[in-house]
Amino acid sequence: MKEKKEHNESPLSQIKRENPFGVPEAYFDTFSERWNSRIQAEERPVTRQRWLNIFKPVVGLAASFALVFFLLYVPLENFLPQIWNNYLAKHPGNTVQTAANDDNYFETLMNYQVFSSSDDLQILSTLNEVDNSMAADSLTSQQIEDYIVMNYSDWEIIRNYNQ
Amino acid sequence: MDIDESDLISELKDETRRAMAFHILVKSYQERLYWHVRKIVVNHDDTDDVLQNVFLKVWKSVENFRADSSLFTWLYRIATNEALSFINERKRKSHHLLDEGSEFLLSTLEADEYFEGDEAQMKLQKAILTLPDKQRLVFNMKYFDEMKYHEMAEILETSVGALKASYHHAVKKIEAYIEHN
Repeated sequence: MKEKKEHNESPLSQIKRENPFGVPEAYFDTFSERWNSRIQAEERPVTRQRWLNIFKPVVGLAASFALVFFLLYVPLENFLPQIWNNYLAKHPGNTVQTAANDDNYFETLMNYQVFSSSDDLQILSTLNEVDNSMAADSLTSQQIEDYIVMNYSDWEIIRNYNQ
Repeated sequence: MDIDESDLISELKDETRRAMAFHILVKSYQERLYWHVRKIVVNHDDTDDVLQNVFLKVWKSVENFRADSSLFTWLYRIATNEALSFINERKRKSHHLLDEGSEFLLSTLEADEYFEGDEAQMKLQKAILTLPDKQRLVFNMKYFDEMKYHEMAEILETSVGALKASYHHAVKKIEAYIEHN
């Protein structure tokens, strides 16, 4: 009451006490629809972002592995054979024979198998079994020669000799 | 639209019925909240942006609404905070942070194509814009919306005594402005 009385006596009382602002036509009728469109637009990126958040670390990890692989593989693939070849050119004795389809290699392998069982130590051991009374270190060249002639064919002897 | 507030709150918390309940909430409160925000930010387009943000905030947090206060109070509080944040941000961007007279709001008012009042009403609005934000808020809520002090106290989270004092100071400043301009 007192407040109203104060207003009536004040300059405020001479001004219409009503809202002087307006809005565009049908603003309140369409606000709800516009707001619905906005909420749909707001929620769409959230779903997409959720998937992104799940896959981002996985994709990042895969990309890191790919990068590390690329950084290691490319230099090794391109430069290591060259370095290895240069090394082999300087140190030819270190060549590793790996050509399994090479005829020479097969031949060498067969010769090795034939004579691997007939190295000097085995010959001496066999001779010792034949004649226990004879000491291995007392064998003469003639005795060894006789043993070889008796136990191996000419072909085997020639092949071994060539080797 | 006649709605029971407690029914509306329980429907808003139910995910299956939330969309429909929210539609009712928007329809019920859009106009009151619009005018509350409009008196703070002045411009229609800015008010529209702020109001959409208010409802967006309500949509995102309605699940956690604890009903410590009424839905009406909660909505008004969110709208007030959003509107004040908006004008503070505008002031910061236009380097008017220390300018309590809100020069940019005055120019917005003068350029407002939806202002439908007469010259005296324009003068009153200019006088209101000379007030500090809190006094402006209190004056608008009391003078135009004829809100009760205890309702205002709940929304603005302050005492009735402080609000009465703010309103009294606001009226005095406005009267002085009108007399001298």
